[in-house]
Amino acid sequence: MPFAAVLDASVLYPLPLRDTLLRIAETELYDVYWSEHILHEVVRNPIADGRAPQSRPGGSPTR
Amino acid sequence: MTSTATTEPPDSLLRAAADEAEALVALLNQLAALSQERQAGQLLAPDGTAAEIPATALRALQLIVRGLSRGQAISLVTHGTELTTQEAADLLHVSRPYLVKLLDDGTIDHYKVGTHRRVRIDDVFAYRERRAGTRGEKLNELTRLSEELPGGYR
Repeated sequence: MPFAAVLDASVLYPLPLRDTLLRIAETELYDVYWSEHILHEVVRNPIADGRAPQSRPGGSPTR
Repeated sequence: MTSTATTEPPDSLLRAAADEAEALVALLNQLAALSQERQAGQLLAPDGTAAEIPATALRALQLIVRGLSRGQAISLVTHGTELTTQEAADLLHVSRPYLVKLLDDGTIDHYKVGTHRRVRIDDVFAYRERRAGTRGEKLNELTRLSEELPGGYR
């Protein structure tokens, strides 16, 4: 049984880190968890930083 | 699992003995090299007769030896063709309530034995494959969207 890990916004916001961690999770090396709150933070920050437009299609990640 | 009489319980719990550590590491390296080369192996008996180790068995052996060589305990669980909701949930690494939701909305087929839900293992494997496909597609989409962000991929 692989272990479980909560991915916080601090590792989901930097794109290369997010990609790497999710791709590792894809191989089922560990079980990934996050919360609605964490996801909102991940979506909100690129908008606040002006990196992503407000109404980007597919801008709200789902599981 | 009916033909051979055995004293072994169906769910085995294993742990390496202290003096096996070195041999396990050596075997693990050998298995890794083998599986990289051709995805199948051979078991050679002292009298010279050889039996093929199919890729699936080789992979199982690798997982077991890897765990044992790290000092971890290994539990082997054999599954029948029909599963309880808890077994299916465990296999898919989801909670039982989430699995029941997948059954109720028809994502995974199920049937009832009395009042109990049962799931065919083939359907669990099929769902697992579909889920892996969806994950891969969504991850690729996420990477594509990330690369399009102003300032690039960072």
